[in-house]
Amino acid sequence: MEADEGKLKAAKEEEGVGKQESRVDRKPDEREAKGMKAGEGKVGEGKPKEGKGKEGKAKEGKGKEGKGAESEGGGGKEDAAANAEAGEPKGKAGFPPHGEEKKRPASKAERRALQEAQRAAKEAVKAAGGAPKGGAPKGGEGAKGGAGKAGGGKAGGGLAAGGGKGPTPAPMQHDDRQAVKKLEKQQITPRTPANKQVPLFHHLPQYEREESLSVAAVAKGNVHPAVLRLGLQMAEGIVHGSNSRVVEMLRAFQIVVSDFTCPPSKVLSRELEIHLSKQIQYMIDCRPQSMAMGNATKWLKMRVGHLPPHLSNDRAKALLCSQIDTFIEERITLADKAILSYAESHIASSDVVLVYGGSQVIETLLLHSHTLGAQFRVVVADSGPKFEGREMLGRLVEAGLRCTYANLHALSYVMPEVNKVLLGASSMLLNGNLVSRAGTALVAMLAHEHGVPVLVCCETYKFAERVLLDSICYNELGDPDELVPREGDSSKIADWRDMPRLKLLNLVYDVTPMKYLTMVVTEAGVVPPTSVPVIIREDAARMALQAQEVV
Amino acid sequence: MAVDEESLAGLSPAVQQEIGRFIAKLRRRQISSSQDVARKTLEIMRLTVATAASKDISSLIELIKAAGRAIVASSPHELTVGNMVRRVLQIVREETADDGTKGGLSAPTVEGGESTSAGGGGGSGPSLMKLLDAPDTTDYNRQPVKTVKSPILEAINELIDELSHVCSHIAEQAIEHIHANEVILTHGRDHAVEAFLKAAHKKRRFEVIVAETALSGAGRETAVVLADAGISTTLISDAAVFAMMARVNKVIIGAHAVMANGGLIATAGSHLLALAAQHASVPFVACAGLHKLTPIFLSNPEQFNVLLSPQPLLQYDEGLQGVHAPNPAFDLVPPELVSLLVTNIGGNHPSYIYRLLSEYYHQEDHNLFVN
Amino acid sequence: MSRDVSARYTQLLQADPASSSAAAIKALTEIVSSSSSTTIMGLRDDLIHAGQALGQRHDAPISIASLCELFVRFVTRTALETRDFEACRRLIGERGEQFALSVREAPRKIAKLGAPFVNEGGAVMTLGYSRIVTALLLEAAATKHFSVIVAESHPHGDGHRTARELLAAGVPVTMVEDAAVAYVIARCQMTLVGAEAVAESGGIINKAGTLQMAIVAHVCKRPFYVASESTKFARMFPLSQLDVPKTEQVRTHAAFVGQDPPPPQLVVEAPSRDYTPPCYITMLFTDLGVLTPSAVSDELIKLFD
Repeated sequence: MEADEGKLKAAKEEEGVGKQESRVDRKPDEREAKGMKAGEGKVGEGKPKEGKGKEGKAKEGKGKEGKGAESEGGGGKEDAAANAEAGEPKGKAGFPPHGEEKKRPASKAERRALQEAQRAAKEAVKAAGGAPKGGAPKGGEGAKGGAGKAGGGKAGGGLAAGGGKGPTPAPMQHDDRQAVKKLEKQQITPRTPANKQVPLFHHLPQYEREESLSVAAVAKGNVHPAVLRLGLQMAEGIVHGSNSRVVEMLRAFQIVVSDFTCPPSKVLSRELEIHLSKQIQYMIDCRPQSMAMGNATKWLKMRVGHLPPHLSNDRAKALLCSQIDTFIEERITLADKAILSYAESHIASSDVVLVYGGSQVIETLLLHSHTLGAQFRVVVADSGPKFEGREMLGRLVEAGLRCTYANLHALSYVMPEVNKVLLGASSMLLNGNLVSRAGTALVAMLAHEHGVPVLVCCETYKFAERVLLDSICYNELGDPDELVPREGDSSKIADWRDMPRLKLLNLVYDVTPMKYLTMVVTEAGVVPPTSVPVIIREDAARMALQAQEVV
Repeated sequence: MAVDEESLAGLSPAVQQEIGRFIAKLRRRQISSSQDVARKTLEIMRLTVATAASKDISSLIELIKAAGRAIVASSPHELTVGNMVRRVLQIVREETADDGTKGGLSAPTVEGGESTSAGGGGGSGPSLMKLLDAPDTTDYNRQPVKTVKSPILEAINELIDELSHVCSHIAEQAIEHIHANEVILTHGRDHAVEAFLKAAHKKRRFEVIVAETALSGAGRETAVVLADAGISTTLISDAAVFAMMARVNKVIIGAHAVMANGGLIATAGSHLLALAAQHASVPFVACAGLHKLTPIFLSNPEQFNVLLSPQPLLQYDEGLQGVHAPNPAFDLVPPELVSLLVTNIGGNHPSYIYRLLSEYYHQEDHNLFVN
Repeated sequence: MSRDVSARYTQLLQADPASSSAAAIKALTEIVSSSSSTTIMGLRDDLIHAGQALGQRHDAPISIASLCELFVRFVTRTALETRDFEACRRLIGERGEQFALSVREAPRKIAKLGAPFVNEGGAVMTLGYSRIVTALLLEAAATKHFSVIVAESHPHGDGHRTARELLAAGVPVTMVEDAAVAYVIARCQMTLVGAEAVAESGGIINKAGTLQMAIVAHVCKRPFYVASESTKFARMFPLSQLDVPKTEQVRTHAAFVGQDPPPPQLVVEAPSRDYTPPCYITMLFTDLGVLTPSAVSDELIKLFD
């Protein structure tokens, strides 16, 4: 890699596209997909002043290098963000380093011609309808397949595109050094990797808590203030809960869209997409996206990409804002109402219902059923370090419900009297597994052991087209200091950073196996967990159809 | 709960004082380790026997039972107390039976394996074989107390000594069960488990994941202790136990008591751990000294549990009226979830526990509260 | 001789239908007393023949053979110890009497052991009729309030007898058909049955329908308890249902009682017993104490090695 960089540096003086050129060679399709012409002013255009390479990283101390990579990164981020199911930027990972040395860069004219040809071919295919994701021919390339997804991203989500499309590419893995380097260049707020990383989770980002997340972003000046604020709120946990985060994010993006001024010579959809990607990246920097947020951003990108070109910029922006309104209205607000109506018939007067943590939908359901007159008891199960159930407990007690509050360790003690379990969801997976707050799997498992039915209330927009076998493959690692009690602790745990052999791990999510779930209540109806992939596919088909609609 | 004065009447004042002090400490939870409780009980028993004015064995037995009942009644969840009393009673019966003449038909040694003194002995209690034998007529009154006192005291001292070696005997077996690069999951704070892990660490490198064990936070102490000992430790919240189980090779916990059917009474949260381990097909190992072996079959799961104050969970001034917040100290782990019980005499399957019962306790003493 | 034994056994059984084991032991004891043999070997032979005769009766419990073997062993052992033949005889006679008495005590002992396991306010499921089980439930009813769900145990309907006896004591009883056991199990806290024989594996042989109830209880995570005297411990180790000893009597399948006989090609089976493996049994209440299924094997090893 070093020799390569030297080579690039040499070429950089002219256009600063040295590195990009070799990349261009390898992935013409991708460049096409981004709608960028090779050697176009794009490179010169988007160069932000700051080198984004992490100062802390000794590997790439070259500011120029950083710059060159930045603009490339700009484009990479875009299609990465388009793929962000998990909200993690996809890296152009997996290219063997030696490949760059081996290839001879073709002349500029040749390259341009090649790209034009391929772009034309691509548009033709697209016009024919049901553009296949670029993923298929790219199957052989890098394992992290970010490339393939790029084409897919442009083809309207391409989720249900015709047969011959490959599987959804895996998200970026943080133990892939090249991917990490790429990511660091894309990041708006540099994050310090955690001092004491847990080796088991090297494939996930582990960061130290930053003193100030927004300084770097403000300095760069490309993050909208609403997003700045929201990012900080999410990092602090002020905005939490799967639905809240998505709604707040979309609302913030509405503001971003309305305030966005597109440079006169540019196409709105493409510029907006790049702009939004930066906002998304900043938010990811503050706190990794949940899968539901990933779905929402994917939808938004798809909508942005399909803005009818004949509309004026203002009309297009207004359209987009109203589409966002519709999304929130249909997929979240009305969906919740539908879920309430389906679920309330399952709560009877003599029931003892157990809920875990703090889920908005579940809370609304309980309060609603109570107002309908059902005299049921509630057991609120909760666990550290966040104790999210406590707030809900307060509101339920205020509403007059008879409540029991049990920490996880008391679950075996209370479960014999429970006859239903209601759970909220962060996401439901393609294999019927449930992703939810850490501890949910234990609750479901114990309920199953006691023969107690487990109901999951989940809107369909949260269904993710992914498969997770266990909770380690993908998770969010929270602030480890939350595990240290604030006061009244006799152990020396507060000094854990000074103890070389001690690490703290704060897992945010866990994956509940399908066999512990009895029923999933969605706005599409009440289904067994085995039907979740069916709903996902139908959803995807609907999205693809929408994508081709002319509004 | 006031100590029943009448039942203690036969005991010497010194013993009564000791019992009083011990009960007070137990009530204030100043003695936490089972081993300390067991040792203290044995010391009181030793004092009782030493100062007993009884002329015959039966009344000695009654005296020991009375002392035992007083302590057990004040802290019923400290099962170790009852266990030690039963051990002492078994010692008394054994010493008497050995020295005294045998009553009734003596069964010849079967295969020379276990010795079966009439009616009592190894395999004490009724058995099919003894159905047709004469009823147990071990004459406890043949022997004056004087002759058996010193062997009894000696045996009690041996027991106290054995008690002090429980952790090291358990730790000796560590190397058999923990291998290189394994990930061990544990929770709560147990000296036997700590000794176990530290002993294995001397020879092998492995990792330990500790669940913090709300609400006491005992897991945090364990994590600090293990990290100080040089073992690579990760502390997780209780909620993440299921998630981490996918990468765990073994679960090793301590037990508060081992029931007669091989089930465990352990720190609250252990049942969840055991179920998660079963789901992931991870062996679930419990380390417990035999002083924790209790000859009780639990008919009602609630009878053993202690509900602690919900203080750490809900503050009184939070204004949550009418909310029931249970904080049980213990959990019941059924025997089918336990893969191995590591005791100071070796590793056993839970289904073998009933066998150990008959070796250590006499059938008649199983229920201390019935004559 | 064998007819005498058999006749005597019938007499004793009529006098006290409660325990067949006591009747058997008494009959065997009398053989010892009235035997004309003057040697131990002769006595042994007499007893072995008598045991076989009893075992061949169609109404003999499965465990009778083991019981007789147990008695023979005891005789042999006693004889080895006592020099004098006559003294030996007398001793055996005494012990036989004693044993019969203790056997009569067994239901009370078992009831005291098992009663604490019945939960206050819970429901107990049982099957058919067993005097041990009934005694246990009545003992528990003296101090607790609970209800009982009885499976009627088709076709003889022994469950009705249980229901009558429990109702007389004021215990609320629900009667269900055997087919509804799975339907009602969710309401029960435990299951309790008797046993015709306890096998060496720790499993039991009992009326057909017991295995079904055990499997249902296992799936629904309810404890399955067995109450049985130790004289029912039999020295057999069935590996599958095929190893269950068949009764001599063949009964007509209930569907065809009083109806036209089945068509000739139709194979009709009406098993009266089944074998429940130890993996489904939580605990056994016996007069030897509360035993886990593995402890049963231990007892039998100790006895018969």
